[in-house]
Amino acid sequence: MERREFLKKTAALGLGAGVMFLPRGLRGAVSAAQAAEEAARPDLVALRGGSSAAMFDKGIALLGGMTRFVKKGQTVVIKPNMSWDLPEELGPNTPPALVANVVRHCLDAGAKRVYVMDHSIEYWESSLAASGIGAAIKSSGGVYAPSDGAKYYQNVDVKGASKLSATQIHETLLESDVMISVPVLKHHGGAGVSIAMKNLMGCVWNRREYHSLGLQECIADFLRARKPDLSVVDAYRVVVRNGPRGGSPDDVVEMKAQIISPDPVAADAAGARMLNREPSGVGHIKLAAAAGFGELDLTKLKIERVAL
Amino acid sequence: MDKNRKRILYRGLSWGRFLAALGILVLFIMCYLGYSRVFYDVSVNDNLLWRLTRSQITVGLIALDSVVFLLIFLVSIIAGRWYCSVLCPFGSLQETVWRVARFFKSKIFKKRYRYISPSALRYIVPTLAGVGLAFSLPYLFIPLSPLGSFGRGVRTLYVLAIDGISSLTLMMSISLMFFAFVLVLAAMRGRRFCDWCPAGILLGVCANAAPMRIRLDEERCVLCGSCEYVCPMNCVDLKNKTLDNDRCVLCMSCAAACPKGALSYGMPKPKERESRRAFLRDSSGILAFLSSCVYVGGATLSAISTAREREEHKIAAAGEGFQHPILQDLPIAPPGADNAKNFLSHCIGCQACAAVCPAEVIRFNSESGLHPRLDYTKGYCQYNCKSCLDVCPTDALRDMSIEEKHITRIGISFLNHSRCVVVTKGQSCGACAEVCPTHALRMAPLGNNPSLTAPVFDPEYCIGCGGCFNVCPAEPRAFVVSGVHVQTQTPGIRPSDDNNEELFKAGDDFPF
Repeated sequence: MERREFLKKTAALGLGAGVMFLPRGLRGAVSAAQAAEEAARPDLVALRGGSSAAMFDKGIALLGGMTRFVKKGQTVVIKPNMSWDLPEELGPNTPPALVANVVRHCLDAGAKRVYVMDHSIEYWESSLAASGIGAAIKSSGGVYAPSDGAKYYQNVDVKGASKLSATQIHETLLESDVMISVPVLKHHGGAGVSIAMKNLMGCVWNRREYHSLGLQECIADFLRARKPDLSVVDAYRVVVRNGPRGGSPDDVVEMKAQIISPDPVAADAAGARMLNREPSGVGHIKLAAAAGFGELDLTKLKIERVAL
Repeated sequence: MDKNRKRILYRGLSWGRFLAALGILVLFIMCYLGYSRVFYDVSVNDNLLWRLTRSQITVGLIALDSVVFLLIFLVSIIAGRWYCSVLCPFGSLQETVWRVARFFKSKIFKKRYRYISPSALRYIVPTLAGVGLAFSLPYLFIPLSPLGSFGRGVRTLYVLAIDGISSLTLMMSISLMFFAFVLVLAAMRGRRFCDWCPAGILLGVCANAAPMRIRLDEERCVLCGSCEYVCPMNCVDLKNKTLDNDRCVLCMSCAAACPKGALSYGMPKPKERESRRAFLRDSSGILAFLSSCVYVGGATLSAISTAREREEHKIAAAGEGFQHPILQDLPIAPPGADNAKNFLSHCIGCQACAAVCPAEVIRFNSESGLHPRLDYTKGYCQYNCKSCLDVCPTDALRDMSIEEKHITRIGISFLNHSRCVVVTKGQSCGACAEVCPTHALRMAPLGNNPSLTAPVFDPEYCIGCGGCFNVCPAEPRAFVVSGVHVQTQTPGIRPSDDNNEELFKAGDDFPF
């Protein structure tokens, strides 16, 4: 809600400024128009019926284009889910075409470098190959950031955390100006759901710590260390049970959908609804919303629903 | 041929041969130091060490791969011990050490190498190895295998460098001491291990009958001693103006060093043909022949009995119903070991499996002795990987399809709910079910709280990969993974519970 209020205020200010400085020329009027356009932008875009890449093209345009999130010369880190040595059809990893498309949009917006990283659970090289993301990174011009050793992670204190007061975060997260979470919507046996926030667990070195300290709390705490600037939730093929690995075609439902939002909590809330879960019933979504990282009440959001 | 041109020719041959052997040695060492994965193409499940181990004679003998064995046998019976000359990494390592030592020796000590007469070890060692193989006595043949001794030495050094001196176990130090002993011997006196290597003796018997061999022209020889000095096998006997063709590894150094062109490699002249048939006439030749027969016989017996047992094992494993075993802490063997007897009677402890394992769970530690065992504290067996059984040169790990590996139970897990963090702390976890590739573990609601789920374990589907143990956050962990006496097959992935939940699917309106 904060952001919308902020935008409204900015719009009002812009208008006021435009009126005040009218004799000075058109500048005020332009910024007013821009502010009005920004205020009209949706908080969340939900798309269905297209390919993962096509839905992203449409959705990011509705949110104001990638230039809204990535400025010229900035460094971007993309965090897909590529933890599993399983093929795309079984749905545990982000579709490679989507990862490639997000990389390309960032580069087109003028990004200096686009990293792709994930501390994979199964052997990294097999997962990179089986998911198809290794090839997608290469073809799209992104840079694969090695994530399979403690040396790639740096100690970080997480201020205000309830459980995860210190952790090791991947070096590219500290180096990059912009972070984009590109998860795939999945059931998760322990956390309930695995969407934009649970995806960020792959940014730390010590996973076991999350489980021993408290999984739900740590997932929410990570946002204090680094909140993604944009979350792109793929829901084309969704592992609806036995998640997050799945591994059997019986576990997969074809949803052909996608959720895009700058608010990771809102993205998680919408994703949870698609898995027939109440967002407030999922520990980490509730905790993150309570900590003020976003809105879990979808009725309070401006949602753009698009069928391709 | 002019003697100078001849010398240049043999010098080229000699260096070309040594560089080829050195190249293979370097590739072997790189693979053992973990670099096989640099050349590892995951998509085709192929790696360099796999190709290298395929060329070893152990593949032909113990694994009964007749193509490899016949090829090496044919080459040896026609042209001599080329296998020992180029392909064997342990031989090349000894020769390299010897060459380096000789370089310094010639500067400092000016000590000369002389002919060393064959010792009785050359009959004893192959006999022991053959008996060990025939009667499944692993500790009798494991230390005598050239590939095994080489692999253990290099890998032990690697493990010490990575894990520190504290990881040194009794078996590791014995392996290391033997490795060091052979290399010190090599520095002082050349390729001594090759003199009693069971495979070397066998190929030596072939080489003794081979028409292509190094010959010494007694008329041209002026007894200058150059050849004696450069021979890594110390098999040139100038006192009698002869050389032991069964020990010669065709390094060509002698021919390259001879100033008179008295040594040459090739077919014998007609009048010499008679003498080469004499290879069985003297006692030394007969003993070598008999001991190699024991070796080959033992290896064949072992291979045949294992093949038969594996057939029986297959029938037994298929008919066996699942019974949850009581908790035992048996060591876990890699997939394809089938049962303890097959595994122990074939493994030469070469550690190739440990070198290729991407998860680095195959270990040689105090529990395992000289055989590989799985240790899940730092990783777990990867579901879609079968590198270890691909690379195994002796078939101690039977090759199988990845689909068969998916349902092969190498161990079994035991869940102790009273240690699980969901139960003890009331917090969400699910790490075990997350990694469980067969859904033997799944999460089900615990008590009245619908959002708190605890693991439920169905051991029938457990393949013993150790994922649950590896990721479990509880201290001590809520899982124990034990090995099994016999590797059996599981029904595969546990079918999902019927779930009629109405979910969003393609074409629906968004549920928000």
